[in-house]
Amino acid sequence: MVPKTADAVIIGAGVIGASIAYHLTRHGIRSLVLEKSDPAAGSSGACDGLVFMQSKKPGLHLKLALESRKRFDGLVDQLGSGIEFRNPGGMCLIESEAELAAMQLFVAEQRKSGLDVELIDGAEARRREPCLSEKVIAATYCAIDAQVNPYALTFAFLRAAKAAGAQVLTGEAVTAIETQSGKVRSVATSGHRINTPLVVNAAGALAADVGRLVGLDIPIVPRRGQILVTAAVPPLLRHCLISAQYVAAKFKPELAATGGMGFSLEQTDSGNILIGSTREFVGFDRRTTFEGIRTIASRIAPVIPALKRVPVIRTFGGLRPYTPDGLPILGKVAGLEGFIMAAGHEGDGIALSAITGELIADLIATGRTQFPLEDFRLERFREGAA
Amino acid sequence: MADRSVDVAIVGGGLAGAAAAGLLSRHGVRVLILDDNLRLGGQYLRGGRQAGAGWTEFFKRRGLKLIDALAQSPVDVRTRAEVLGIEAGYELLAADGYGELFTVQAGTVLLATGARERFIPFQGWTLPGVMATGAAQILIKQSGVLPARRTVVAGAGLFLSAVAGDIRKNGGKVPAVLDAMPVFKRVPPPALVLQHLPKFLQGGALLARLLLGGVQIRNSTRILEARGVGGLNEVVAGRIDRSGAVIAGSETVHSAGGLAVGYGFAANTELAQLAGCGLAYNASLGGWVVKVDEDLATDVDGIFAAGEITAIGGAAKSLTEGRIAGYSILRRMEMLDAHEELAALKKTRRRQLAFARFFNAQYTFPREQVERHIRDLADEVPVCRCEDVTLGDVRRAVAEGFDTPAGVKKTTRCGMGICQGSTCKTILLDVLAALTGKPLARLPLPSVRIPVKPVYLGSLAGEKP
Amino acid sequence: MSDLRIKTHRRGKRVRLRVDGRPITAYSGETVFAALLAEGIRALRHPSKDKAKTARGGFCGMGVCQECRVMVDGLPDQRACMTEVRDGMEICTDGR
Repeated sequence: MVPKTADAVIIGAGVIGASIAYHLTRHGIRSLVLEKSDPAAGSSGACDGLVFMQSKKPGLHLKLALESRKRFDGLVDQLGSGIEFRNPGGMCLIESEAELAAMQLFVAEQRKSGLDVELIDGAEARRREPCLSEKVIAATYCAIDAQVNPYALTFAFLRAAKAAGAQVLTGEAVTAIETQSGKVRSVATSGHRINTPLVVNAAGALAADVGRLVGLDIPIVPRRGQILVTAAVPPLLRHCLISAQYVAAKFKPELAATGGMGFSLEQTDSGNILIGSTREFVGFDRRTTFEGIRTIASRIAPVIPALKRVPVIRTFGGLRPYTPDGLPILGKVAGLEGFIMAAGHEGDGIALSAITGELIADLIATGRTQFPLEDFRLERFREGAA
Repeated sequence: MADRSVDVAIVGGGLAGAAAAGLLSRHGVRVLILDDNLRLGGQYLRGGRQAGAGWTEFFKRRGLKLIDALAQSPVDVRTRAEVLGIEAGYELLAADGYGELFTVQAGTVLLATGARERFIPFQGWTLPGVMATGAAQILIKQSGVLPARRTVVAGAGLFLSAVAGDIRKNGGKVPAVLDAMPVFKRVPPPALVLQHLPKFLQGGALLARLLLGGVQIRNSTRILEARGVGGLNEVVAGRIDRSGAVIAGSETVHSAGGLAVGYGFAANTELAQLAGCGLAYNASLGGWVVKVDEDLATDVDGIFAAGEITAIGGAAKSLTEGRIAGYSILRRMEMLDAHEELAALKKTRRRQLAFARFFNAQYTFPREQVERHIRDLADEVPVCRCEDVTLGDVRRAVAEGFDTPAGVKKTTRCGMGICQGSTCKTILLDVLAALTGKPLARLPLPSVRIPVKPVYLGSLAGEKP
Repeated sequence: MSDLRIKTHRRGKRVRLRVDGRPITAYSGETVFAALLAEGIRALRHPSKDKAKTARGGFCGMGVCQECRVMVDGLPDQRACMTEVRDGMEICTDGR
């Protein structure tokens, strides 16, 4: 039964929308979530589950991520063990002297932002993670890097939200958002119109489309990441893993050209190993490609040779909601009362879902947030802020 | 740069693929044919010459001749080759039997990937000793080994008697053939019989041999349970009434070490779906099939489809369609007009589709019966064998509001295992249709991604394992 | 000769293989699935070693269901129904 009015409408039942719906119920606010397809049918169902602190940019991004990470321990109690949250610790693998030099600088910055991270040599890395080959000359280790099942997390948020009175409608794409005198008035789908003073844009890679409904230019574009899924195997990885290439290139851009593709891996509770990932601007094409999957496989095989005889059974492509500065777009929008942004998390949506839900819900319920949202405003792109 | 470049790449070396390959090659077209089996011939000709080519085995003999001819032709034949995906160009990615990857570039692609069997689950169906009817037949034909000393054959469809016949002909015992369909469904319209006399003579002779041999053939009888510790020991069956309900007190127990079970066939449409070809749902054609026009062109330019994937229809249809596809491709390449040949073949095809509809009706139950059947299954019956997802898990997911195959897949893991839904896709669709009331045609198929078959990561990395 | 082997079937040369260390006889042209079945081995995967909750054997017989996974000459996850026996072959049940 579709309601005629709602206190808040959330567009998108991915992990962000789901988290917001859940956190709103903790303020006693029952939202209506409108999902054009199915829960986690978008990027939240086509990603790995890393809740990785080491891959976040030191400064604001990392601080936000650390806040989010803190919330995850409580989430298991609130949402149940079905979300498959685990804290194996994470390692960032270093394969060259150039990367090592860059990572030493990076570690210093991470520590300044409050991340406890340890630099270890190759032998120690192999002692802790025996499947690693000699290609790994060093690594950085962080005890709080963790992983979760991203779509189970999304479903769990929604389940808890619904149990507390939220409503989720699937197969309902938003076709119009009506405003009057600079205020949101209602939301329309092909079959329904719901009066509401508040709309949250949690549409992930499609957030720009939602923005166009209210004449906003939202600089979120999809950036595809391809992931390999292996058959379930007995425990092989003891940690979740990323490569220094991912992060070192941020400090030494020349590494981006010469180094190999960045990779990330986790072994899920069901035993499958997820290996990512490409970074491609290909519009909304979610297919995986011969080139993409062969590149990922070639990249990881020398680093973890035991994977060579593990069958790859599936691949998928997820669309990261990319913003020009790598930070999500969160909070109110100037000139349009009642329209709240909560999108643009790039490859960090899962890790940032906990804090995003809490902050947006707090913003809506109380007008105040524990963490300042100034630097996440949509307007920053117009102002040319870096 | 592809490892090999040809005019036409044919995926599937069964009757349709082989027929097309031969025809194309005779007209000077460079053809490469890929098949995942050890030898060409598809499921129909497993075992080659030993498959038997008696006086009713007309299509087998034609098939064998085709394959022999291919060996002498310039067609590049790759067996033990699994195609993992297709991309624009067209580029095919395949893995050979040694796990080595190779690519093929072709201007035109013919998909002739055949069919696999369909199942409806029952208590104990994962016990060792329970196998598909096709598995029993392949054991006999290819390896000369019986599935067990005593094998019950059960499920639905015309294939049951063929397999029972194969087992008995080769010295095995068949305590019973149990067909869930009512007997009147087995009776074909006279006009159809006349049009397809060889097929019906073959079928009739088969049935006669079984009856004369004292095999219990029971219709309206469903498998209720496969029992045993560590492996199959006995099969419990029960009679069902018109509504699909089991008649109390009608249970029979059959002692057997083998249970060959099958409920018809499902087209292997995955590669076609991956390549962007439209599919259509049509129960009388065997369920989800690749959409093709009369020339067997799919709706993707340059990709054709032939054989069981356009409609489950048997050997004769596959042979005809292989030739239609061959001629259509020659026309596309502007090498031949073939107007008259095509007209004649299309006429033959229409007749064969009439038989196909009869064949497929033999394992297509009325909707209410399927719903009843599924309702009667216990929660602990597995739906997805790879991930041990039970019917109870699916029921709970639907109760929670997940009503699409993709949604149920995410929340239960059904279809996420190593076989990627090859076994459970049709089962899940039937279960969801029964639980949600949505017609099968409206349940969206889950997406297909490369690789469509498992492949070692090392192979993808360009190494030989 | 196992009583599951069909007497009239033209069989290839005799070959010797080992299954979980145990020597067995088979014939060229047979699949591993068939050879093991003829030897009375129906269960190819066991819950003690494999993720499946119950023992499993070959099911579809045509390379689709992936239930018959065994290790062949050190290569994991090989389908028994798609692999022909070879003299000296080492087979381990429970695919990896």
